[in-house]
Amino acid sequence: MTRCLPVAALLALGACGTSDVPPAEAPSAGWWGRLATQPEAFQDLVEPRRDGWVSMHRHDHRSAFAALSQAPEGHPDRIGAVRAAFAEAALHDDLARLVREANRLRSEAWAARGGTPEGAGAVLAAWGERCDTLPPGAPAALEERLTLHARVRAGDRDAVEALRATAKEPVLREQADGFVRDHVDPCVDASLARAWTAEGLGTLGQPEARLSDLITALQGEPFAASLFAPWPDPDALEACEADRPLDGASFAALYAPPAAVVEGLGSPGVEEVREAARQLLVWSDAAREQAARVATPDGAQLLDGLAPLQSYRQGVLVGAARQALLKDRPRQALALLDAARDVSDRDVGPANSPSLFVLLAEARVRTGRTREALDALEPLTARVPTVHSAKELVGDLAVLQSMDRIGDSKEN
Amino acid sequence: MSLLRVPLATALLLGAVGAQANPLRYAEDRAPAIVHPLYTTLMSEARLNELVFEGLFADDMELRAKPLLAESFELTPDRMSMTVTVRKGATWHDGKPVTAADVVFTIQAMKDPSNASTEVGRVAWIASAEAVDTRTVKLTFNGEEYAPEDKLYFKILPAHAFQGSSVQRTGSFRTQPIGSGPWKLGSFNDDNSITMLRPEGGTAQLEEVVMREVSDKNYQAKLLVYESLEALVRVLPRDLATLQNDRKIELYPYQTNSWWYFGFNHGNEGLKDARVREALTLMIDVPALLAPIGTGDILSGPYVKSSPFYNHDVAPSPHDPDRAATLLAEAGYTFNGKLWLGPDGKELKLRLTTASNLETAQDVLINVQSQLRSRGVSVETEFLGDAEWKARIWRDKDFDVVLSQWSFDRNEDIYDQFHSSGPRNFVGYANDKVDELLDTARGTADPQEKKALMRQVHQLVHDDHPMVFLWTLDSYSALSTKVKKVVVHPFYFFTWAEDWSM
Repeated sequence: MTRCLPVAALLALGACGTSDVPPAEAPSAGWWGRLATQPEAFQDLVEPRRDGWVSMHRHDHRSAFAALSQAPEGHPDRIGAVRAAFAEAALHDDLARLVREANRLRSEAWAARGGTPEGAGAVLAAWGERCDTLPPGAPAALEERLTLHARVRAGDRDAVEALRATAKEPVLREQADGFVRDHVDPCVDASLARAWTAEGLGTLGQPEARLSDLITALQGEPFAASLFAPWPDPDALEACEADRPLDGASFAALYAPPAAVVEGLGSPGVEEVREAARQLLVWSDAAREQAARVATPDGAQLLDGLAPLQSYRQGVLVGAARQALLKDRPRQALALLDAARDVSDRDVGPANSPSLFVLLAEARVRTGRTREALDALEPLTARVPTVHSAKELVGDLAVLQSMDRIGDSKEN
Repeated sequence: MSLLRVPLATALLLGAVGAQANPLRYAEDRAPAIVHPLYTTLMSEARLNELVFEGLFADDMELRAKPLLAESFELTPDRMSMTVTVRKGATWHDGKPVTAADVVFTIQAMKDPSNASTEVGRVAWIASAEAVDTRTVKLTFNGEEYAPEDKLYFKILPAHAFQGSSVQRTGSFRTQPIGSGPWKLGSFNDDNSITMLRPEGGTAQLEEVVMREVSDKNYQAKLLVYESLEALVRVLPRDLATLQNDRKIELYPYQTNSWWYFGFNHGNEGLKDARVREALTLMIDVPALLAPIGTGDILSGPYVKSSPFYNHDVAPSPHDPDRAATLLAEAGYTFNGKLWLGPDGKELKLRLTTASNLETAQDVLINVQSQLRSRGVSVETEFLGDAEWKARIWRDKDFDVVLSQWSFDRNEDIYDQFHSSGPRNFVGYANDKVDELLDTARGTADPQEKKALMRQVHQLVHDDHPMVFLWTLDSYSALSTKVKKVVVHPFYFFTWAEDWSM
């Protein structure tokens, strides 16, 4: 059974849908239940393009899109490709928000210490505020870069690859007094979020789609629409704000926690969300046990190998953390993300999504833990090369914020 | 008596018998040898200081400076001096008021070379301190300061506790400290634990905090699982999955920018030669040392990989015994088929030293001993207690190679370790260019210049091989879910423990 919560509760939660599926009553109500009881349905779904679904499970949405978008029109894998494209858009949207915040705070902190050096640095900082038109006085190299960005935003795949390939390189390099000053491009992720939105809309076949259009499409292919997702099934998404334009940000707002934790996740306090995260853990333990009890032998193997409840739980917490950040509750987000992280695996992969690390970095920057934000970004280096801009800007900010401190160091 | 030698059941019983009204019991690998902010060299000491003492300022929850023992301050327009007003009503644990004279005393005691404070670097920027009245201190700086409150975190000591005695590391204050923090020192106990009690009228939520030394990491995790502890400061990576799966335990990131190293004593004649140091570095198979103790990043220099100062163009030193042999031959060493012999004909022999109560360090030391012996280097190992460590390593520089770990706050300021005048540079490393870069980095207000300078330092230090840079481990602390309102400070851990409750 699914239902839509009252508007007030949804506003408090900030999520766009919910489900009150008590595991004791309906263990197979979610996609994990289908893994347990109908493993053959899973095989049927993933077999044609196994690599794509393996990548989806690993939170490698670029690879997932590359594989699943090869499916013919009308095939369930196309829904997987749509999800992958919007998940990638959401990741870059999260990164773009972090870069924008770091850029803003860096400019403020630097101004407090006498101001940023004039020249390309100031131009890039100003550009990074909105990532639209270049401010006057931009060097010619930046004009070329802006052209590349325009192509990326229009969905030009060659341009997307070109921008991604140069993400670790400085966009400009200047000889300063005694050292070389490297400037990073502050708009890479903002443009890539737009590009992946265009990919998603194109794959959906609806260039002007709203969120409701996506939900409708998802409901047409329930298993492909929900496998590894932070909702039990697409019916749980018949919720609010359906008229929002479909993009990475609106897609990222789609998650559906069980009713048992809705109130806690939506409350304003830190201790309350921490307790809700614990309740969600208890709920997912119970749901896993329920699923295991009704699982076929093959289904039991899938439950063990794919850890679906952990994946669902993390997706819900990450979604709730994102909403907390958008509602200016970064300490809440920090508590949710600390609870979401699987510390047994230090890298991006099945156990930990890249969005978790990006949001963790944002939450840390916004709670003054700027140096620790760099710890959160480090695991992204191999998978998401565009994180380079975020690392350098957050790094500058961390250095600025500790400029007046006397460092402390101890043994052990 | 160490818990290392106490069977688990007994330890659990001790935990139960020793329990008072809901104490928060936390475990350290090494109990602080002393409780004295002027001579703090260990993280366990720094954490305990956080419970017992206060600075003029401390981090608020957003890690900005907030007045603590200070009530207010005023910076002069030329930024060359400031006045700080001590908080009205602030008292020491013995009931006496905290005064401006205490602040002046602390600064002078830290600066006085005869006191040999390990914290001297934290007040070097202050030219003078004088008490204007009982609650007002005037600080004069050596140069312009933009946010001097950011530097006034060091702990303040009660001047009256030292009347008639000099400030010494071995003085009675180390075991009978008087602070002004949320808890006062209650007792040093027979089992190496330390009990801290909330002073009368104190505002901390927890009445009692107990530090327990548990050097066996396996016991630490078990004691937490069996509810004989409420907190583990550092969880061994191999225990992370177990503790994460325990629904009564919550993990908190506690990274502290820590890295492990083997440090070469540059006062040792043979180790002065960079080729010998590099050769020894290349003989060591670092990944094989890391594997038994957990997951982490192998490093090429004096920063963790996420640091803005880490130079990613510098690769970690490889395991290359052939190149090591070539370097030793170039340095005048000969291999007799079994052992390397120095230019003087004597065998290449090293003492490897580490702390006696660090289980993981002992494992690493034994493994590296085996690796070096297999390459023809004669190796002895020794394990020192804390007091002996401070005397032998820090004061007397009586060692060949040490295995230890540095932890840094968010500044990641390696000046003390690698500047030739650094108070923590007990390996005796000196490179004029590194000194120059570190000095320049301290003076710049440009973050990109500072990053560029420190990345150069990384390269130079890597090339000089003053240490074998090993790894940083994934580091978490673990607390019982009984403990509420937990927020862990990224370096000092207990900064906000006053708000914790059970």
